[in-house]
Amino acid sequence: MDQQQRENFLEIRDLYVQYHTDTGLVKAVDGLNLSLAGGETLGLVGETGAGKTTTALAVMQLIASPPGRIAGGSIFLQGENLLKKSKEEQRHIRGGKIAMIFQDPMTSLNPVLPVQEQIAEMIRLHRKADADEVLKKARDMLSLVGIRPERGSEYPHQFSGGMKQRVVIAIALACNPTLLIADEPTTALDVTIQAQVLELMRELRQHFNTSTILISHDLGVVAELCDSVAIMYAGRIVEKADTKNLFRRPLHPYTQGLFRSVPDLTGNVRRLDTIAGLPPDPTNLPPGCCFASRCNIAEPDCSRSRPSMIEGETGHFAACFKLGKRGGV
Amino acid sequence: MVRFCLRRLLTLIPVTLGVTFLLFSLLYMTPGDPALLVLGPEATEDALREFRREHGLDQPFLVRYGRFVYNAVVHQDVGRSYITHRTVASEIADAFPVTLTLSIGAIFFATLMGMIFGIICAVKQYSIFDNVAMVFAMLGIATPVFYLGILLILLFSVHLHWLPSSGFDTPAQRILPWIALSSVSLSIITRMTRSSMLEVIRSDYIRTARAKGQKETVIIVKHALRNALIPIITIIGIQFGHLLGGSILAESVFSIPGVGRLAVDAIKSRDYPVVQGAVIYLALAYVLINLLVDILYTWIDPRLRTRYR
Amino acid sequence: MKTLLVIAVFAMLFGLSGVTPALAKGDTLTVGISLGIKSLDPHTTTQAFVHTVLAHINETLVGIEGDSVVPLLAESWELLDDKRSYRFTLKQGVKFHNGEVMTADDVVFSFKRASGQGAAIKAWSSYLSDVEKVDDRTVILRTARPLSDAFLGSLGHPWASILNKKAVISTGQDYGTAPVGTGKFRLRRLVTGDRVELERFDDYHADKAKVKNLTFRTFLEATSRTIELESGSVDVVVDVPPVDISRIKENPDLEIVAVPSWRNYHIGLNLKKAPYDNIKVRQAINLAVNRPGIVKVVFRGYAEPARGPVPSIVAYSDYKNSPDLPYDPEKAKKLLAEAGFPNGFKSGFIVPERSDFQNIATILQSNLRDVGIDLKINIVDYGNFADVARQPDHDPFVNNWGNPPTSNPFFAIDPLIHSKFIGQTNRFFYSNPKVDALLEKGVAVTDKAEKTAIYKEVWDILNVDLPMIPLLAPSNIFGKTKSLKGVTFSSSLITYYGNGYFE
Repeated sequence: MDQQQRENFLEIRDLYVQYHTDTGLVKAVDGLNLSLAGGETLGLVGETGAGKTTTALAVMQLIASPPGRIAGGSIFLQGENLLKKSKEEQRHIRGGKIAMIFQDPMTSLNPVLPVQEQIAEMIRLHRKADADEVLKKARDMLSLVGIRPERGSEYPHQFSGGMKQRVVIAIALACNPTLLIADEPTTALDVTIQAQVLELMRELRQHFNTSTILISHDLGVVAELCDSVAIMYAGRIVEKADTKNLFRRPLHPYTQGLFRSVPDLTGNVRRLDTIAGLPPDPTNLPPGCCFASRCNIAEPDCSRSRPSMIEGETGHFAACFKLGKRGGV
Repeated sequence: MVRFCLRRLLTLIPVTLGVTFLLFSLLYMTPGDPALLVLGPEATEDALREFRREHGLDQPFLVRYGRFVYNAVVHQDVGRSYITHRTVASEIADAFPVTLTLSIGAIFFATLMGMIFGIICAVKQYSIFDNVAMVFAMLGIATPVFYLGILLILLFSVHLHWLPSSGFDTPAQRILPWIALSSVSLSIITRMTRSSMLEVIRSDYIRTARAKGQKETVIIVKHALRNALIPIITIIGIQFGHLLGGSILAESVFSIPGVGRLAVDAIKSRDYPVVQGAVIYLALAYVLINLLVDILYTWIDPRLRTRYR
Repeated sequence: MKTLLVIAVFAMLFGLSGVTPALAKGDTLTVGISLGIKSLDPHTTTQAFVHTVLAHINETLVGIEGDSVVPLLAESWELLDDKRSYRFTLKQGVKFHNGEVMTADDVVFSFKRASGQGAAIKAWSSYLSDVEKVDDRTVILRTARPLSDAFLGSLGHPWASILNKKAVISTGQDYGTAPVGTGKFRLRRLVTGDRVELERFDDYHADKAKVKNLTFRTFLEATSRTIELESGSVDVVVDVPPVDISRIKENPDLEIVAVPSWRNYHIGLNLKKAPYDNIKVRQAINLAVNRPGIVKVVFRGYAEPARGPVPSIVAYSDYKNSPDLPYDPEKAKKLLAEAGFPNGFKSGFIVPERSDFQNIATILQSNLRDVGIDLKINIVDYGNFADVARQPDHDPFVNNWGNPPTSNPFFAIDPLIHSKFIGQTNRFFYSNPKVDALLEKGVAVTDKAEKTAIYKEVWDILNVDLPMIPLLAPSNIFGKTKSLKGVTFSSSLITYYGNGYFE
């Protein structure tokens, strides 16, 4: 890929995703802008309900059509707008070009099919090969993720949680997708297994050189694996930077709050630092900055209009009026 | 697997013993003298006495039961009808193929249509098709078989002259009874398929399949349906067993000489041996069907297999 | 693979239980009956519809035409001097369906089997005390006491069928499915519970049947029978329910044939149980019952209200031309008051579970309520009825006495009122030595005028004593296609279709 292509490998512009519910119109994603460079691993961080999974589903075109709907915006993958593709084309892209790993390995696999079949299915959908080749490739994928290929004919319930997640990863990478979206892949696993799976993901990343979006609410995981990080809050991106820079110096008050609430293992802490208040009601988002009501440096102007992303330092953006005024908080 | 089957077949013994004992007791306690019924009200006292003696009806209960079990096990003889003097086995052997044909046809139709409708309802939940189908399903369960049978006869036989109204020899004669009998099963299977599919469709692995870019129809059949099958198959098994027991109502309306009529006529005329034979047959049918369903379970759901390795 | 399975299943479904070859229309007479036939062994059943079929396969020594007894398998007979033995001379050259020729051995065997076999037909066979072969074509049948034409008449009933000794012995216990007789028709196929297919026997010893095939098809539901008649797949249906009568009449191709029967519907009283031991109470009930009303409502007019203790068809009775029994609720109330029940009384009432009995009971209940008798109806299933009605303290019941083999009063009335049948068929506990003596004499004498006088005395006594309240005699109602001719529909429960043909 040339530099231009690398730069704009995945570009999400002004994405709006909404759900019609009995309690009102839920604005899950509200004007989201995000870009990913080729080969890059981007961490998408935010608390529960921020809209991370919805964003991922939107990219995958898996938003359940009633009651959800992509209300506006565009998603460009290697220059092509995914939202303008036909259903048939979308199907081919899913799994073939973009693959997704979901959160809970225990339920992500079909209990009545052998694991090699579940990998093989992926291969058959996107590659032309005869039955033997497909089987061989499926088993190869199993080895690749650290499972003995002879176990391919076994069923998901015969594997442990960690191994199931490996199978899920094998399925996702079977057709060498250009973009991988991993939605909290280790959240359901215990810590030691988590480390193993992360290690595996790191190896595979080198092997395949897939661009990746890693969704997590765990800053530690993000620090381990990601090249850059985007912080999401109330359906929008509020900060984006290289991992090192973000951790060294978070610019947005929300991010700062997040880092403050990480327990300090060295000191003797009696109470955890929290961010006061609650995230806004997605059916009733405020007109201005969505964090204003909880922000300790908020001013009346903050509630009047939405801040756009301002470059605080090179390559490090945050959506805060205060940044623009003083060039750094 | 073989051991599993054998073990289940062994349960036939306590089930049959239990059923026959219960039956014997009930018949013993039921008022009504078979002698009087078989010989008619004009019978003389001597005739009645002789009849009772001939059939051991003057013996104490346990002796009769013991003799019955002995004959059944050692001589494979479950007795002869008081009325026709033919062996009970041959009476049932006459009626059984009819009931079997009737049941298989009905369950086949019910399963095929029921699953198709159920899947469509689940995939298009809340659509007009779904709502209409559920209303019909409710009607199907609520409408008595004989009533439906008579309606069908009125419409297709009497008014339209498309189909014959009774009998069971030619395929054309079998169509209306099949439809009438399948109505309840069809409704139940539709509802069960629908609810089971609805549950399964919300599963995570379905989402995974979609994320693979798999076609929706393949997802429904290969991923969703196979997982939804267990409760559906259970219901099908129960319905089939129920049908095999013979449906006296449908058999009366369509004049079909099946097991249902055989059993009810035998009960009415206190033809004890035939009643016993019919009940044993029914118990056998249920046990075998249950076994079949259990075997099917292990075939469908690999999680149930490891135990029997 | 899956398609193969589907095809296999369908093939099996449609192939199971073979396809019946279609029978040409003009050759086949199809009769719709109401119950399923499982066995065609004449010695094991008392059910009239089985006997109907049997009457076409088997034959008896004598035949019944109208009121008289005519030769059939016996050419002639004579009453011997002891007045209780009949010597029969058998017809020669009569062939059975299996080719064997009928001899005296077959006759003796048949009657011995009838007397010895099980208990089903003992009610009729028990009168036969002895059967003796004289020579190859002569047989003597003896009864325990003189029974004159009552016995002769009963010999025309299928219980007395002449069977082929060889055939019965060789088929053993399964004889019921492979009967062999001398009748105009032989069995082609028996589908138990569903149909009996008969075909013409071309070696019949007299005039052959006109139709080639005779089929009896079972339809449990009366509506089905009517529908089949209308659609033309059945030519005659027996036992048409009153509701379908007008439909059949309105159909231009069909007609109704109604024949008076000797089915005696009555209220049975328990003379041992108060207040029914009081003759005035019984007479009151007799006056309180609205017979014409019941005939109209329950039977749509197709019944004959009782004018005496027996239906007018019964031999040696003369109720055809009698006046109707009076319907007088006022007088009934007066009689009840005289009996000590000015305000009536309460009573249970047993009704067997059958729609006609239940309908009649409803009207009876209303009739009796009008005179102050309050009936509590207790519906019992037929299985229990016989049991319940024998109990010494049973309540009154409604029932029907209708299966005698002939119209002779010996079968129509003796079992009901002769004291030796108390506890069995004499459910009224009626014991009148004078009646007993009259009945015994009546059956023994041969002179018709004498018999008529004797029985008239019996009827008169019964009209006064009223152990049972006679209600009505329903007609036998048949529906048939107009093109069917030659069939004489019978007052008994057995109609012979063997002479039928189509025009």
